[in-house]
Amino acid sequence: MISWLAKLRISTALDAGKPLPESLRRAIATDPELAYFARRAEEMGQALRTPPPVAPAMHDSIMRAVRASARREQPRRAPVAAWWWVTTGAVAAVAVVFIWTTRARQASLRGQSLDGARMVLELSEHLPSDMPSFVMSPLSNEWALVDRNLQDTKQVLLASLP
Amino acid sequence: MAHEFQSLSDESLARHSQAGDLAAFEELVRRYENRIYAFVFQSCGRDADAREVTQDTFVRAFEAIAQFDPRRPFVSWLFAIARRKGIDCFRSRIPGEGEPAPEEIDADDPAELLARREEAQDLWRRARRLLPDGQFQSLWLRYAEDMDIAQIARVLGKTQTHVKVLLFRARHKLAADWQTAPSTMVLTAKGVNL
Repeated sequence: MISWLAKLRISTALDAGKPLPESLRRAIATDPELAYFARRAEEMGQALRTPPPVAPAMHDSIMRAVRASARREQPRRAPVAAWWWVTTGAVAAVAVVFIWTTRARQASLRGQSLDGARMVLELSEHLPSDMPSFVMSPLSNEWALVDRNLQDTKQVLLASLP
Repeated sequence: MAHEFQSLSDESLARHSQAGDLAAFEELVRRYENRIYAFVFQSCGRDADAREVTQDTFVRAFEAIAQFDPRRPFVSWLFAIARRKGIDCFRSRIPGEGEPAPEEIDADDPAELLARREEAQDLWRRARRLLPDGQFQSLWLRYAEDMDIAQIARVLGKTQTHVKVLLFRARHKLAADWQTAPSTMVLTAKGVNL
């Protein structure tokens, strides 16, 4: 076990590129097995630093594959950008309509907040069917989440009524 | 343009590649194609598979170049991709089997250099036959690629302590094998075949 640990220390010292500690040198001097391992490890290190030469000549085929990948990547990125703009535009449009509707009726609905909330909730229910499908279809998941939030809010409001 | 890239570091070239410069990436391919091929070939032992894995490695590196952090060494990032790409190939390797590497013979090599090269090849062949993948790859990255322990740990996805133990086991096993078959390779203190 002690010999195993000493060999591990020799190996670690080789990896660190540091000289062996004095205690280890003394151990090597007295133990032939350790001395053999230290000598072999050192020699192996020298020999292994010359890796077998290899010349596969494959630069052109690699670059062809990379260029093909680059060509595939470009059209893949374009729809992502388009999708982002459509989604963002649609969300912004819905937000503007929502705010405008709410503010326009704010004065007349003052004191009738429940009616206002009802109107907004109704609006939210009709929006998915009234809005053009090309606007709504990319947003169906998001809209389902918004709708669920509104429904939850409605439940809370109705439950809080005296 | 390509000449201009030759003086840049790997990490600078990677930054150019991130900006979409294919010529910069090509310089990286030029620098590493043989080294990646050698690493994969030595690990899996089949020329066709090694070529395929090498090509896949660079394609993957190109696709993922945006994720590369130029503050870290490019070499360990690239070798980590190669190792992942080659895992199936490495696992299918039958110990002791493998084609001889396609070699580049330099007729102008002095005799001593040739002898040393043969000796190294013999030792690498032994290592490939005797060692499991992790130990062999640690040894290759340490000596053939001259990586330090931290870099090897990054490539293999292991801790530095684990890598030290892998290297120790590899040395231990190779030294023991050397002891049992000394007639095929006897080294002097200079590391030259006798």
